[in-house]
Amino acid sequence: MSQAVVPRPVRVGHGPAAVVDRGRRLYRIGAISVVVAMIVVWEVASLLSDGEVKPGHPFVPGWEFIGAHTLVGLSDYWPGGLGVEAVADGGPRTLLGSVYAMLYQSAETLWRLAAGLALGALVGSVVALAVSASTWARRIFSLPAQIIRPFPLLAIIPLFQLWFGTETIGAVLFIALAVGIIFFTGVLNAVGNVPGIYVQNARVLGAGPVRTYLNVVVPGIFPELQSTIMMALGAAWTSALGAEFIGAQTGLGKILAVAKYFSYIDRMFLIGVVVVILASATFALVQFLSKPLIAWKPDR
Amino acid sequence: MTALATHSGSTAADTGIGAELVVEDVVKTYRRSGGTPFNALDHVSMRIDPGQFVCIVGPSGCGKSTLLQLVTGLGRPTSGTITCDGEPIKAPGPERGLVFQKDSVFPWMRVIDNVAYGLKIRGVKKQERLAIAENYLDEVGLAHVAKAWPKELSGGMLKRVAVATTFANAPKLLLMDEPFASVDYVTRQKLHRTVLALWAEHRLTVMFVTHDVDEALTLADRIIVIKAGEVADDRMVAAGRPRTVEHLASPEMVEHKERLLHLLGIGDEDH
Repeated sequence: MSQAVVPRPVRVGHGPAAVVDRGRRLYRIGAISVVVAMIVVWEVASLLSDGEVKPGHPFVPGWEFIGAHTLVGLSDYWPGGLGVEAVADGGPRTLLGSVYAMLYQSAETLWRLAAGLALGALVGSVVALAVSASTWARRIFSLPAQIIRPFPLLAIIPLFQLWFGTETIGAVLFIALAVGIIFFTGVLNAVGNVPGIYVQNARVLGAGPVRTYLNVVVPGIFPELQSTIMMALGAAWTSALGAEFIGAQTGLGKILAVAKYFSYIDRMFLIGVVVVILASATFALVQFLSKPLIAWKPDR
Repeated sequence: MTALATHSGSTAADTGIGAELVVEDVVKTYRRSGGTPFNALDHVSMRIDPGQFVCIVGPSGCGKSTLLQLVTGLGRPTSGTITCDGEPIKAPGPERGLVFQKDSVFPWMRVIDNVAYGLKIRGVKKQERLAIAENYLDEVGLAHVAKAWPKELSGGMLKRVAVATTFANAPKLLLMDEPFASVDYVTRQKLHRTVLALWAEHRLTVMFVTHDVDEALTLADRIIVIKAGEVADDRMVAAGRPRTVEHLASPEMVEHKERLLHLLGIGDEDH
C-alpha cells in the first residue's frame, strides 16, 4: 500500500508566499498528470493485448469494457435490500445494485480496518510507552515483542481464522497485530529520540517522572509518530484485504477472492481502483486529523 | 513585580534575598570508555552568599558544567556535600532554576505556556500563572509573542523565553550554563542587561558558568576559576554597575582580566 503523503514544498529563505503556492500548484498538476497518464497507459495496454483469460474476458480489460460489463457486474455482491433484489436470489444486475454492493462491502472492510487500527495502535503504543518507562515492563514485553516482530504476518492468517473465526473478530485481531507491531517499534524508537534536554528542563522546573512523561515524552514523539501512523495504515490495508481474501465472507478482499476464483480480471482491477481511492482517502484523513497535533513542529 | 508577589509564598522577591549555596569537598568521578576513572571535580569547596552574582570560569572540560549539574540536582557527587540554604541537594527543585546552554524551550507549547509551565507543576491556578507569565514575558520584551510557537522565534528570543521561564518559577538560586554562548554579540549584550535587571530586582543568587572572561567581568560580583576539576582562583570584582566600556577598561578590571587569562593559559606569551 503506497503512502499518499503530500510533501511540503521547500521554502527557500523567507521568500514570498507565492513561491509556496506555486510549489503546491505544481505538485497538484504533477499528481493529476501521473493519474491521467496511468489511465491512458492502461487503455493503450488493453488495445495492444488481444489475449483472453476465458472467452469474453480479456487479460487487460479496457475502460469501455469496465464501463459496460464490470461496473454492473459488481451488483453480484449486494446481499439484497433497499428495493434492490440480490442477484443470487434471481434479481437483475443493476448499476444501483453495484453502488449498494460497493458501499456495503467497502463499509465492511473499513469497519474492520478502523477497529483493527485503533486496537493495534492503542495496545502497541501503550506497551511501547510502558517498555520505555519501566524496567519491569521492559523485562516482561521486550523478548515476546522481538519474537513476534519477524513473524510472516500473512502466513498466520489461517491460524487467526481457526482461533477467532472467519468473520469480524478474526480479521480485526489480525489487523491489530500487524498495526500493533509497527506502533510498538515506532513509538519505542520515537521515545528514544526525544531530546534529553526537554526531559531535564521539565525535571528542573519541578516535574515528576509521570508528568515529565505525559508533558514531554508524549508530545515529543508526535512528529516521528506521523510516519509510524502512515506505515501502520498501509499495513492495516494490506492485512485487512489479506484477511478478507483468505477467509472472510464479506468485504473488498472477499470480492477479490471470488473474482480470482472465476478469473474476473476486470473485477479485480476495478476493486483495486476502489481500494486505491479509499486508501488515499484514509491517508488524507489521518494527515488532516494529525495536523493540529504537530502544528508546533519546526518547518524544515 | 505585582504578579510575582501574589503567586507564591516562597519567592525570592518575597524574601528579598537569594539562597546560600555551600559546596563542600565535592568529588565527582566518571569513568572513561576504557574504564579508567577520572575526577571531573576534585575536592571542590565554595560558599556563595545570598544574592551574590558569581561567574564560574574555566576552559572546556574543566568541570564547571559538572558542578552546575550537581548543584541543579541532575547528578549526585561521588563524595562531598552540596547544600542550598542548609538543605542537602538530592534532586532538582523549584528553588533552583537552570538556564541551559542548549535550547530547552518546549517546542510543543506556546511561549506563554512554556513560561507558565513551572507554575502549573506547582499547582498555581491558571489565571494567576498566566498573569505571572505575561509579566515576565513583558520584562524580557516578549509580551508580543506570548501566543507564538517557539519555532517562530529567533535564537535570542528563545533564550529570553528560557530566562523568563526560570524567573517565573521564582527560584532562590539561578544557575546558568553558558546560556548565551550560541547567540551573536549584540544579542548577548542585550541578554546580559535583561538578566542583570531581573537579578537587581529580585536579588536572587546567581551561579553563571561561562568560558568567556569578558562576559564574567561584565556580570559578576565574584569570579571563580576552575581548572582540571579544581578551584584555581576565587576573586571579588568590586566595580559598580552597569559596567560600561570605560569600567571594563579601568586598571583594576584590566588587572583582573590579565590574571584570569593567565590562569586560563592565555597571554603568557606576551610576557
